[in-house]
Amino acid sequence: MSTRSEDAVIRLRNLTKRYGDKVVVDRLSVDLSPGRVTGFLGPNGAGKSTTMRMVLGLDRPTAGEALVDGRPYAELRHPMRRVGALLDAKAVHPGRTARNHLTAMARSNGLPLRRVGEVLETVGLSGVADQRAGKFSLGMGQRLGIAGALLGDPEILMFDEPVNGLDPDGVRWIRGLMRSLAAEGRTVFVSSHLMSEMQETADHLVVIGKGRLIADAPVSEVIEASSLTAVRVRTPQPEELEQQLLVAGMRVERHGGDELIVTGGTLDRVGGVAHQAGVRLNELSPRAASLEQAYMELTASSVEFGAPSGAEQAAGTDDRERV
Amino acid sequence: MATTDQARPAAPQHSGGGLPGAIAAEWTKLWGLRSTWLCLGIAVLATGGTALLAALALQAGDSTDGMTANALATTAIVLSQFAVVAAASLIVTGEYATGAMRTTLTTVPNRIRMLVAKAAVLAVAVFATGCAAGAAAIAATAAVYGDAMTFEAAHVVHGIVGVGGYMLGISLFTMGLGLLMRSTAGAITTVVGVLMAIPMVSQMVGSETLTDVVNYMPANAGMPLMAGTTDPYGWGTGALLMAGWAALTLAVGYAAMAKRDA
Repeated sequence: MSTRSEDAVIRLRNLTKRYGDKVVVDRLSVDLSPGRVTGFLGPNGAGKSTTMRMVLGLDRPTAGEALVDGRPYAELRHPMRRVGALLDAKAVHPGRTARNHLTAMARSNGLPLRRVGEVLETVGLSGVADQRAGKFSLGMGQRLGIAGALLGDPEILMFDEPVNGLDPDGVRWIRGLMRSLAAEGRTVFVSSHLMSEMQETADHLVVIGKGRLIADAPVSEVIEASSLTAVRVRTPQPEELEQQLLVAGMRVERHGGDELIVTGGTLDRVGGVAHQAGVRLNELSPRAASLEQAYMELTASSVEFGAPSGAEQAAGTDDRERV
Repeated sequence: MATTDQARPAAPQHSGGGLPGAIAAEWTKLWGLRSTWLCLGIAVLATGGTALLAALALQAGDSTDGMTANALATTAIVLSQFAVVAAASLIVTGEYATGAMRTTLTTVPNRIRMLVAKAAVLAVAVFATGCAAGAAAIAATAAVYGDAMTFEAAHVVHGIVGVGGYMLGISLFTMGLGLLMRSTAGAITTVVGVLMAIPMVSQMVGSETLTDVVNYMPANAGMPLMAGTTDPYGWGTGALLMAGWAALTLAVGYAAMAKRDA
C-alpha cells in the first residue's frame, strides 16, 4: 500500500459552475483521499454530476479549479491509467460492440489489449462482448461503463450513480467492487442521491445541496453531528433528571413514564448530570440516527425538486450502531 | 481487480497513448460502425453507377467524341459525394448524438489531439474511398465506351486522385461543421446547401458577383482537381481552396468546442 499514493487525490478548489444566473456548483472545496470510498451525496439536481464532469474536464468551471494529482485532468498523458470514470451508461455509441468500444479506449491510452478481455470478464459481459451496445439493457450498459473505468487499472475511480438500473445482484456486486477497490488503496468517489446506498459502502461523505458543500466528514461523524443522534435514559425520577438536563443546556423529550430522549449531549455528560443530581438510572444508551435521517436533516433546506417523501423519513428511525 | 500491490511496479513508466494512441483509437472506432462501411461503400458504388448511367445516356445520344477517362468524374460524384459527407459528419455528430463524445474526451482529453486524430483517420479513409470511387467511374466509362475512350495518364490521375482529393476536402469541411453544429442533420444540410444549392441558385440568378464568389467555393474548387479544368484556376489553386475551406470550418469548430462544455 505504500507505493499507492498519498498523492492520488482529487482537489476541488472553490469550484464553481454557473449557467446564466443559475449557480449549479457553488465554491466547492473538497479533497479526496485514497484508500476509502467517498460518497458524494445530494438531492437530484444538487450539482453532483456537474462536479464530476468538471473533474474530468468535460465541463469548464466558471471559477475555481478541479485538480487530479495537482494538475487539470486534460494535462494527464494517460488519463485512463490515473482516473477511471463512469459518468453515465449512455456514453457509448449504440452501434458499437462492447469489445470495439473498449478496444478503442484501450488503444487511446496505450493500454495492453488483453485488458479488454479481462475487464469484460470482471463485469460479467464476456458472453455479449460482440453484441452491439445499443441492444444492452440499462444494467448491462452500466457494467460496460464500469468495464471502461477499470480498463486502465487506475488509482482513482469516479462513479456517477453506479447502481442505476442494476438488479439486486448487480447492486451487491458493485458495492463489493467499490469496497475492494478502496481496500486496494484506491480513491473511490461515488455519487448517489440515495443515502441508504452510501450507508452500505461509504467511509467518508461529501454532502452537497444546491451546489454548496453541506458536510465533508466520516460517515460516523455525520451521524453524530445530527441533532437526531440522542441519548436514551430510563430513570424512576424522570422529572428531576429532566430539570437538571435542561439546566445543563440539553434538550429533553419525555417518552412514557420513565424514559427520556436527550439530544445535544453525549452519554458521558448525561451520565455526569445524573450522578451529580443523585438520580438513579436504569438505562443509559446511545440512540444513533440513521444516515437517512442525518441526510434529510442536512439537505432539508436545499432540496430543489419537491420535498422528501414522508415514507423516506419514516424509514429511518431504527437504532443502528453500525453506520 | 486482478492486479495486487505486489505485482504493481513501483514507478510505472508507460509509453503509448498520445497522438498515435488517439489515432489508433479513432481508426478502431471508425471501422467498428456499420454506418462507415455503408456510407463509404455507397460512395464507391454510387459514383461508379452514376458514371455508368451517364455513359450509357451519352452513348445513346451518340455523343462519343472526346470521351476521356475523367470526363464523367464531376457528374458521377454529384450524388455520391453526400455519402462521404454523411460519414464525415457522423465521425463527430454521431458521437455527440449518442453521448459517446464524453467517453472520447475522457480518454483523450486534449481537444487538439482528439481532433487531429479524427481528421487524420477520416482523411485516410475518405481519400482511399474517393480514389476507389474515381476508379469505379473510369471503369464504368471504359466498359461502355471501350476503345472509343481516350486513355491518358493525366486524365486517369485527375479521375482517381482528383476525386479522392475532392472528397477528402469536403469531408474535412463537413467534420468542421459537425463540430460547430453538433447535429448530423444540421451539418449535412449545410453541406448540401454549400455544394449544391448555392451553385444552383447562383446559376439561376446569373449575377456576376455571385458567380465570382461561387467560383471560389468548395464545389467549384473541386472542378480543376477532378476534371482538370484550368479556368478560372488550375488544380493547384483548387486544392489550396479546398484545404482553406476545410481549415476554416475545422478552426471554427475547434474554437466552438474549446469554449463549450462537452
